Amino acid sequence: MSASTQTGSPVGKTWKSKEEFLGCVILTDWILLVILFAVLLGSFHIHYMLLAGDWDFWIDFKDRRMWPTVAPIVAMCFAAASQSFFWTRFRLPIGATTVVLALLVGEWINRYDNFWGWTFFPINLVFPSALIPMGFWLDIVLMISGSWLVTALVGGLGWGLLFYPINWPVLAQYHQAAEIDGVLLTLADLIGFNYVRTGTPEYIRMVERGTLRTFGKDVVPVAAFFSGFISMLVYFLWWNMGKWFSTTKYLEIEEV
Amino acid sequence: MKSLNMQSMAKSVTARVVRLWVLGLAVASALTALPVMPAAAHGERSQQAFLRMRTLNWYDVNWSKTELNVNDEMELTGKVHVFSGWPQAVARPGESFLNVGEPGPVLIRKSAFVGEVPVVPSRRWLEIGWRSLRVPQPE
Repeated sequence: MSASTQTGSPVGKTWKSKEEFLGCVILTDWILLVILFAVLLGSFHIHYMLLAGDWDFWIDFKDRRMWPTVAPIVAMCFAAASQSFFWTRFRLPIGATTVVLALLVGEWINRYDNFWGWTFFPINLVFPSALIPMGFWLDIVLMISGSWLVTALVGGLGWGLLFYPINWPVLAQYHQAAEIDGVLLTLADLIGFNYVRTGTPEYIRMVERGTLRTFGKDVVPVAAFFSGFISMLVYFLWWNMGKWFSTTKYLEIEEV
Repeated sequence: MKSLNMQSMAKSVTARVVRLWVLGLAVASALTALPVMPAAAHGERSQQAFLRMRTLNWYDVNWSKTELNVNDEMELTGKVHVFSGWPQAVARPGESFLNVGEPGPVLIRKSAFVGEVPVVPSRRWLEIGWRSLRVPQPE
């Protein structure tokens, strides 16, 4: 006699009723969804921190050349892979938004608990870059076009172009001029100077050196277009990476 | 007939050798265009620390206070000697930044000076073989 029949299930049945069975299925689905979200969060977080790390950590690294180039390109990897999984397996146009939401949940936990809670860096210095509107954009392009090729070309370019404008509302206030000991610098640089980062030396930061001026003073659009073009290439690569990772394999009946 | 065959074989072998030589020379000349870097991981670490890390020597370092209350101010001063022999394994200084070690931002840095010149951002202020401070004036 099994344990389940002791609690009242009919002999030979695991569940008391169809409702109980469906409840178990739904509960299992929720557990799997939470696990999936945590896996996306953890893997994307490690990837993003290793490749864009300091540009995303610090307000004074959020410059107008390296940051808008590096961050969208490396963020595109998991967005494309996640879209591949959600779209080809479930026809759900939510892959990019889900994965950037997972990343930001992880980043905020990290920035608030570790950077602020343990180490006392102010949130003004360490808040993460915004990415969710870019996720919306990529998912909407995929939903409307139904084509990964169009999403790579149109969505990928838009992904790179959107990054700076969506971050600007928060970032603009930190680009106001400040002065210390007669030296002119931005408020972001001043915060970075005040709060000493022993493990992140200043010399890692690429200081803009006045190149990339073919289009005059406008550095951000050039960086954003370049970022968009590379994002397109990354999309192709990582869509297939996602496809490869979400392969479903079936057992031959003889093997069972 | 046989000798003709031998002749044509010899010709084709010669042509192949010439092609290989030309290709080899092209590759060799292309390699000369590559930048030459000092070889790493060939025993630099086997040298003593003072040989491979002899860059700066800080001396006469003084903490104005060693115990502080919240919102107290403290000044850290010192002198630096830049060695004229710079280790090959260490990149030569270009832009330099004056930093300080502390376990997280428990102290807030308000000012930083080399000589009388503020060194808030990175700037070219460090020269190998300094005998005296010749800090460039801010533009």
